[in-house]
Amino acid sequence: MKRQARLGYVWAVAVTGACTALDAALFAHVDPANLVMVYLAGVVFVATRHDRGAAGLACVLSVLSYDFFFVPPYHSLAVADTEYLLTFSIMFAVAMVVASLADRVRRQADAATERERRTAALYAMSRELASTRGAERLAEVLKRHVEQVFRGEAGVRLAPTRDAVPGGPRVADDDPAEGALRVPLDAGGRLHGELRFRVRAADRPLPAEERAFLATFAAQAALALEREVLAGDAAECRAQAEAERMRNTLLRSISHDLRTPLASIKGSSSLLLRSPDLDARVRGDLIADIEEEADYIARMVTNLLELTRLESGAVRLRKEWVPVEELVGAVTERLEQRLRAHPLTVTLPAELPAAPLDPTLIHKVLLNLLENAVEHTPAGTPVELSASVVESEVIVALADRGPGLQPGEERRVFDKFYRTTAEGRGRGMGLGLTVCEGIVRLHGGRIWAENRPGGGVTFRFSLPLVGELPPPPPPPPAFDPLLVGGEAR
Amino acid sequence: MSTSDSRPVAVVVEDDVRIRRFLKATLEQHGFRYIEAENGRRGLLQAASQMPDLVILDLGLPDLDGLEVLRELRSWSAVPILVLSARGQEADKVEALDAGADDYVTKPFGVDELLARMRVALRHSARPGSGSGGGAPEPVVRFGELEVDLEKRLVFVSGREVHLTAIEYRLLATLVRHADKVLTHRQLLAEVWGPHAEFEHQYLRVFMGQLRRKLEPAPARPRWFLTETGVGYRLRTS
Repeated sequence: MKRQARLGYVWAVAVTGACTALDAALFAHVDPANLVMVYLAGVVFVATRHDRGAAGLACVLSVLSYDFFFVPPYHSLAVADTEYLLTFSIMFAVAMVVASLADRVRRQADAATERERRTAALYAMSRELASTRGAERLAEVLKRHVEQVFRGEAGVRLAPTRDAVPGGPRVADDDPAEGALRVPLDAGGRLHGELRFRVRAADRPLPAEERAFLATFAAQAALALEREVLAGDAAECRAQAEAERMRNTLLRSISHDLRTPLASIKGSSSLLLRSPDLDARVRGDLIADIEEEADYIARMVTNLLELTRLESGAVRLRKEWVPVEELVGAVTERLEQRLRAHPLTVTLPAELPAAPLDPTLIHKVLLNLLENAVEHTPAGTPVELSASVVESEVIVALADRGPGLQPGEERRVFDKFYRTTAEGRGRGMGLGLTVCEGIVRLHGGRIWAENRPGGGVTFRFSLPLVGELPPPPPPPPAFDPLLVGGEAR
Repeated sequence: MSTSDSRPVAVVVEDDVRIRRFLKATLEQHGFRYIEAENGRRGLLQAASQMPDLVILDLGLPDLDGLEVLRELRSWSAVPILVLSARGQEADKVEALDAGADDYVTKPFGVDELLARMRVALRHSARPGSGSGGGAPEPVVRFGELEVDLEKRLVFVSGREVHLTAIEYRLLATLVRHADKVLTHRQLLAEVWGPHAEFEHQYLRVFMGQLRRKLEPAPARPRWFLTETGVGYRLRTS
């Protein structure tokens, strides 16, 4: 500001000098009264660009120069003709009026420019706040914009939301000597923390309008923080409602799906216990039922636990490069007994690569899909397992010749506790496919179901082939004399 | 319980009374003298005083960690140890196997599975030198159409010789020496590449795949070279 004021005085002197030079050139040709106009023009020029002081200086210098150079006796401030005193007075008065009018216009223009700059700055921050999520990031946006617009050091301290004390200052001086300010992040009565700002030494003290503007920035950020808190509350409410609904469904499912096999176990075992003279074949059947029902309950409980672990985020992916063939082999071996009633064909291309996956989890996916096929299709119908590489994904497909899905069920079969309404479908809790989906998603893949032409369903899941298998290991050292000899001929 | 009792001795360390009852019936029916312990401390005591031929150890015990009991037991005894664990705890199984357990059975389990694992564990302990990579007891091993001559280092499928690379052969020989017993990835790496093998076991899977392709009629549905996902491999010879 001071530098600019000094510059104004320099201009006042320079412009008056220029007017004097011009008048000197015109002096021989025009009436002396018209020379006054040149000076007035000079005063207007200075007043539109500089402050009132510079304009005043231009007025005084103009009158004095006019008197000194162009009013007889020349080169003296004395005045021969007293009529000139009137000329001087009017000249001075007109110059001052013009100067103050010009100054007002200039101030208004400056204020408009400043308003525009502030609006733009505030708008820029609002826009960024609107597209930012997370309290920490919002605080970061506020800090950055405040430092840019107000040119100082800013810091934001977030605090748990609490009610503001009504009537508190919008901007408080923390340490006036250091230019330190404190602005509460107040969103309509709720405090979210505070903004601390240290004004640059050159700008101290910060003018009142700048302080008010700083408070507006803080208020804007506070509103964004408030929005964040409210959104979090709403999400929490929704999650709670969803959890409540799931708990109810879970209880219904458990009470039905676990009680039925338990009833069978209880009935069969109590009968066996109390009727020692049962027919040997009936005894055998009852015992086989108990074993089968126990296996069923074990599967249900495993899936229930698996789902709980997946949903609680307790499952950590431990990816390794695993040949899909190996997993398929492990799963079909596990299900050997249950697959007896279903001819299984496995079609894997010879060049099927290893894929980065968590073997225990993808094993679970394959197991559930196969068990699902066995459980939900009539004995004797074939099951086909295949895999292929499409672009940068491995796609595994399991196709059955069961009753297929109802239209619109292709997506819903993956919903928790969803059970198909198709005829001839077996029992189940509706968790197996949900577990599959959870695991496949965790791997960044997709899982989907489609009815097959000619009847039956194909379940497919994809696993992205990202990264590269690490380099092969060095050949083993010849540490065992029994095994030395390289190639086994 | 007479001192002239010549039946093999099995110590069962398990806290659940019903599982103990089921194990008691199973073991006694199959000619074992059954001794039980309901917690880890008693289990260690019984194992020390009864000189068992087999220990069945539940990993979830009320007083001590099952792995702790296992390590303690292994520090002074080479008795075959069969571990009982719950499904989904593959890491625990691996840890137990690497700590010296001979095999594991996953709860809930059937009697066939239990007996099969017991038989293998007892067979390996009865054969001196096996399990530690020492001398091969039988020079020629046959299972199905597979024939492995450990002395001449020859492998045949249905009478036709199959060429294996050095690594594949070592892998096969290791599995044959521990036939029917599960071997963890780490155990296999240590036996094939030496005790300081430092690379990941991703390549073990690749070599295993190659071995299957050369020796299995349908490598995607293996009959002999079984995968225990998350744990390791097992060569099935029956």
